[in-house]
Formats: sequence, structure tokens, C-alpha cells
Amino acid sequence: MIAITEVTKRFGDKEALAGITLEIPDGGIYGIVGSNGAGKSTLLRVLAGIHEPESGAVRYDGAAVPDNTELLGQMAYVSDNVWFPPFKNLRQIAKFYRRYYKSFSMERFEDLVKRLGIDTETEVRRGSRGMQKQAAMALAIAKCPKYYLLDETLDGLDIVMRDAVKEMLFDDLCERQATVIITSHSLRELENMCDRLALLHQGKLILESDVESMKESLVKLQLALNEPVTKEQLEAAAGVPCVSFERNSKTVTAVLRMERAEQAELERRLAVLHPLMTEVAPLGLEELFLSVMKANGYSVERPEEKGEAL
Amino acid sequence: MKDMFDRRLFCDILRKNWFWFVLSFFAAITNLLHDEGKVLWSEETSVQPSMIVVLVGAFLVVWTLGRYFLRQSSRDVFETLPVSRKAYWGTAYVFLMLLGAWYLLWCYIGEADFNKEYAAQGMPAGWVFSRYFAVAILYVIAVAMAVIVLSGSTEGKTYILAGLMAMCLLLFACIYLTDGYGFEHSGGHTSTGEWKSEYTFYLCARKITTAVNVVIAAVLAAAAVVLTWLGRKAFLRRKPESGNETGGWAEPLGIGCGMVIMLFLLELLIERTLEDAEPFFHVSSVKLVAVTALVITAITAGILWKTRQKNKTRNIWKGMGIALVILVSFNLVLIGMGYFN
Repeated sequence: MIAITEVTKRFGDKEALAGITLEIPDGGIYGIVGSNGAGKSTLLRVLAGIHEPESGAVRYDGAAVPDNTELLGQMAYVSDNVWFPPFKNLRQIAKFYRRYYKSFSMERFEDLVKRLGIDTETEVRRGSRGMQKQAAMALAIAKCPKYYLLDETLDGLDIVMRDAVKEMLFDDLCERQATVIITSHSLRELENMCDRLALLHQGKLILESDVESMKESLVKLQLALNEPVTKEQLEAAAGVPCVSFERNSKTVTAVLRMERAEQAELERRLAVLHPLMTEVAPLGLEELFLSVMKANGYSVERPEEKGEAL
Repeated sequence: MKDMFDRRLFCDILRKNWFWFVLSFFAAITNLLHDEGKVLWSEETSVQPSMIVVLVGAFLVVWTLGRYFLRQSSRDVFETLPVSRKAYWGTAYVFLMLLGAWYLLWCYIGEADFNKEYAAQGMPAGWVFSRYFAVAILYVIAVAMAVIVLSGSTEGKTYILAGLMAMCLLLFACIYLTDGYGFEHSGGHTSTGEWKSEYTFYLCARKITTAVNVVIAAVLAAAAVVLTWLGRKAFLRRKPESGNETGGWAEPLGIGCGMVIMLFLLELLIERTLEDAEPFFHVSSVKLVAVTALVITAITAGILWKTRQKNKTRNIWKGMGIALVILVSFNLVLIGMGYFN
């Protein structure tokens, strides 16, 4: 298990990570999502030992990362901005890695490049960004790591390659119980492949849960009312806290976290507010993400909204 | 010692940098063939091809090494390799030292005639430090200092800075130990009334007694060790860009020493460029300090403009203080020795 405890990381005056505490279980796919500059890449770099946090700690089964060569040998970190040495083809780079990683398998590498159809004889740097990401993934999988740290790795790949890479990761999970930590902007991508998800915003952890219960336990509520209600009134009536709350004259849109059994009772509980209309709907992760981010002050003002405000 | 050096990493750095070794070999050969070895400060030409080759080559070495440690994207690859930071530190150092020794060897061979000439002038035999080697290294360090310091928010520069400065101090220590070179400028009017400058490096040190030289060399060597240690410490506990503690005193020391070296080099360069004119920067304590202040102010202004970082600013002020202390002390020593009489 990877235990991240109260991790803080600053770059000058900017706090990239503000006291993040997380536990990532072994043998699954863990997704990290968030807005631009939320701290996803920084968190991954801290996990990879590239950055040292100002405070807090990262422990892999109790072991710290910095200078832990044994642990580093069990990791495969793929940066969003992949880098390859100049004038080297993929086979030469694979040989370079083989010297450092005990578990690096050339057979596996050959198999992967064959499956993905990657050219191993041309200088890697000459390839497109997507091709470089494919190459980086092939190298990462060939390392046979215990931990994959993938920074927006799927985002630069085309649909076919994305599926192929996902399949390879799933195979690896089944065969070797590897742990995959992946960041992405694409919630739909992660929704279908991750076991757990963490949502970061401005260096803070906003939400963390396993995907299934996240989907099941969050409901989107829309109310039309005669009289405006406050967040507190809605929470009191529903009997659960609001994850997000948005009021627009006499309509209310809110995201509530509650057990499935409670969801059936929700309409009855809200009757005390005398709503004209009540709509309770399950929430997709993308909708959840948008609501939560909006609730945390992350949104782009639309021109028409501006007009109304004036 | 085993965890201070990584053979795989060393081989990899060597493999990627072998051409600098070849380049230095050709530089030395060029030097040997050119003008019977009297190349660097000859009266006929002030800039020699071998000098350019060495300077460019040495600068590229620093640049290549810098690629390993400074660029974020390449660091993502190299720093996630299962190699300890201690090993990075040690390996990079071994590589730099080896390269320095290689340069030295070829410079010695390249300047064999010069060494014979020195021996004929009464210089102890075996004092093999090439003048152009010393200048080349100093130039490289100065350029690297400027590049590294001005590169702004790059992690790991503190330790590279400290490493370069330590090498520089060790070089000076060697120069003092061998009683080989100091700085002397002299000149005179020729029969046509034209001003001619003569520039030699060794006289200053020769004026000091051997015992004093040994002490100076020991102090410089100790300073090099301290810098190395500070740089290594900074590298190992890196908490970059974290506000207050980027490497403690290693960076200010590096900046301070770098400023002093850059000042000396600037002075040398201008004097060489204006060789036939009345020397403008004639060595004097007052002018030296004044020029130092000007150079330091210009560098500081550039850095502040570039970085806008509080911790950086503080380190620069500390570095300026160190530079001034070194220069004033140096001048006081020279005055005390009657150098300016």
C-alpha cells in the first residue's frame, strides 16, 4: 500500500500540494483527476521521488522513496512530457534501461513493440508525441514494475493505441498484481478503468472514493421552489451534507452524498421544503467533477451569465 | 565508497561524452603544431585556434552534463532510475575530474616547449600547468556560472555550482602548490613609442614564499572540500524552490567565488583585447573593487530581473558580500606584499 501523509510541496510562493493525505491500495488502478494546475503531476513526481515534499511523507509498504534504489527499481514513471536521449532508437534505449532495471524483460519488450507496431530502429525523438508516448509505455511495461506512475499517458494516444495500452495494463494487473496510478483530464477514460479516484483542486484533495460507490452514492438533485432555500435548509431537510450547491432564483441544483437506501427516501424528506418539482438523478463522474469544481470556485464565466449579473 | 559511484551511469556519461575527450586531444595537437607551442598570449595573435577549440569543447562538456541534471524532462528519466543521489554526485565528479586530468595531460604535452623555456628561466622543472589550460578552465567555469545562476528555477544547480567552484579552488590550490602562476601585468613603450603589454601568470605566486604558498593551497583545498560537501548536502536533501533553504551557504559561496573569477577574467580579457592601448584596468585595489561592484551590480540586476525569487535574492546578496570580502582580502594581501609599489 502507498501511504501519502500530509504531503505539502511548494514552488516558490505557489503551494502545489497542500497537505494531501491518501492511501492507495496495492493491485488496482488508481486515478487522479483535477483541474489544470491542481497538483496531479506534482503528486506523481513526489510519488516517483523526483520532488521531495516540504512536509509529510510518502511510504511504499512502509519504505520511503528518496535514495531507495530498490524501490525505484520497482517503479515505472512515465512523464507527461516524455524525454528520450538524442540519436537513440527504441532498442538502444531498452538496452539502456536493461542495465538499470533488474526486472526489465527484453522478451516482453519485443512482444510489446510487435503488438503496438512500434518502429524500434528509428530515432525515437523523430516520432510524433503520440508515438513517443507509445514508446514510453512499451518501456514502462517491459520494466515489469510493481508500481506504474503514469502522468496523462493515455491522453496523447489515439483510440486504438489507448485500448491496446489499457489492455496491456489490465493484463499486467492480472498477471503480477501491479499497482497503476494514473492522472488524466479525461474523466470518461478513468471512469471505465479505475478502481478508485481522487479529485484534486488547487493542491487540495477534494474527493476520494472507489468509483463504484462514488457513482452510487452521489445523486444530483434539482428542485423548483416557491421560496428560495439556503444550503443549510436543504441539508437539514435531506439529512445529508451537500457536495455542491447552486441556487438560481427559485431553482436549486445540488449534489448529495447518500446511501442508496436513503436515496429512495429523499423525495419524502424534501417535502418539508414544499417543492414545485423534484428531480433526483444518478450522477456521471464528469457531472460530479463539474459540480464539485464549480462548488470550489473553478468555473468559466459565460457571457450570458455576466449579462444577467449586470 | 561503493554507493558514491555508479559504474553504469559513468559508462553512460562517458559513452555520451567521448567526443569531448577527442576534442581536447585535437586541441592539444593543434596547440603543439601551432607556432611551436607559443600560442596563447603570443604577440602576433591574441586568440588562437586551439584556445577556441578548448573553450568551445569545455563549454559543451558543461552543457552536456547540465542536460543530465538541469533539464526537468531528462531528469524525469535519470532521477527515476534506480541510482542513488550519492552515486549521481560521485559519478559526475569522477567524470569531471577525469576530463580535467585528460585536458591537463594533453596541455602538458602541448606546452612541452614552453615548459622547457620556463625551466631555462629558472622555473622548477615539472611545473606543468599550462597557462591556457588554467585560463580555459576558468573561462568555462565563469560561463557555466553565468548559465547556471541565470537559469533561474532549475533544481540541482546549487550542487553543480558548488562542484564547479570546488574544482576551480582545487586548480588554484595546485597553482599555488606548484609555485607556478600568479597574475602579473607589466608593460612598456617600444622604440616607436607604442605601448606593449606583457602578461604572465606566475610572478605573484613566486613572490610568496613556499611556506605561504602551501598554506594558501591548503586553505583553498579545504575550501574546495567544504564546497563539495555543502553542494553534496544541498543535492542530497534537495528541497528546491521551497522559499528559504536552497542549499544553505553553497549557493552564495558559489555565486561569490564566481563573481570574483568573472571579474578577473573580465579584466584579463579587456587587457588582452586592448593590448596595444594604454591599459585601462591596471591592477589596483581601488579600481578592482570598483569594477567588482559594477560587475556584481550588473549580474545581480540581471539575476533579479530573471528570477524574482526571495531566496535567490538573499543568496545573491550573500554572494556579493563573499565576493567583496575575497577581493578586499586579496588586495590587502597584495598591498601587504608590496605588490603595488
